[in-house]
Amino acid sequence: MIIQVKYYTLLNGWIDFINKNLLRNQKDRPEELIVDFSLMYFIKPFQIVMLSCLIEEYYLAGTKITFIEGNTSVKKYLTDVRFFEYWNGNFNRSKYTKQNKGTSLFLWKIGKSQIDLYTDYAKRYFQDGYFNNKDLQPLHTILSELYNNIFDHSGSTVDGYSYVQYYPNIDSIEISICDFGIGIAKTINDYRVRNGESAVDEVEALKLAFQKRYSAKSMPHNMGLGLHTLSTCISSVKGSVELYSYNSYITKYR
Amino acid sequence: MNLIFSTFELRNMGNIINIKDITEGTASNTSGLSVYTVMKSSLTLDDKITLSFDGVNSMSSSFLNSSIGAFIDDYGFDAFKKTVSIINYTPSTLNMIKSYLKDINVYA
Repeated sequence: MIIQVKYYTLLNGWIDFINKNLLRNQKDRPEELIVDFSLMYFIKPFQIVMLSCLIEEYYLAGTKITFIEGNTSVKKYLTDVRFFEYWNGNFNRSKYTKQNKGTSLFLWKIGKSQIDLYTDYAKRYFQDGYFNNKDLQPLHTILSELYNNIFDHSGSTVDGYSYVQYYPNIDSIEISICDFGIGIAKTINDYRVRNGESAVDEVEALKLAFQKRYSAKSMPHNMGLGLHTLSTCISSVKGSVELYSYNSYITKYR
Repeated sequence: MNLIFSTFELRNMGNIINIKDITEGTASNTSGLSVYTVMKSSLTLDDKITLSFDGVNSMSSSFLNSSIGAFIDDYGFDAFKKTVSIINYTPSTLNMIKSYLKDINVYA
């Protein structure tokens, strides 16, 4: 099976591409998945993590993963972050990976037991390397809220992938995280129905998820503060959030 | 609110729990649970618990849920006020804890 990766002008095009290539049924898994980047001229962090989750699904099902790296600048970018090595037999995708691209933190297969280590490492990496020891506590908070959200709520089949990229020209850090979970809207609506409330549309569900003290109680300790804390923290650094979950999409800008 | 974090508690600090001795990080539920486990085993009738936040600069809501939040769930906020003191906190750590307690509506 060949997946042709290419640039889509609109986000919807990319989402459709990912959805079309999802592994729907493990029994139908191909022997080999060939991911072709030869027509891809630019790649963004969110595309890297979504592709990683997609590839991980096939890999976990036992499919061999190979790449057509192409000859564009994307090849160099992905080679520098060692993306093409990630699904080689012994490669540990959950561990620190030394890479050739200093302005990005390595592509990380999110591991529950390593949340503390990774968030501390990420903060120190950018603080010491690029921000002249300015306190990057918000980065630590944002990452930890996002990772805990996956393990508390998502039910994702592939854990998830994280990629953090610093853009020195605009002095901006972009965090991209993806999981293949059941979706925020489903989590919230299942909770609402269990508690005798009516289901809401997907966008409304995403808005509820950010509301302080609104929790789907996926785990006993959930207090409905995670995404609200995330949003507050991002606002405090004049950042923005873009959240895509199944068929719904919201953005929150400073 | 000042009563909880008052330095008057220093006279009888009871068991001092240094967060950084228990867990490397303060981002995950697991690390929060580790702290709560130690808090619980340190708690006996009439004892005080002092949480030292030396070296702690940030905490996730999950960490707070599984540590302080779990204590309040099990023992109540009055017991938390009476029993737990915090020391060696940075202004931002104090703000995080205060915001957390306010957010879970344990005080006005």
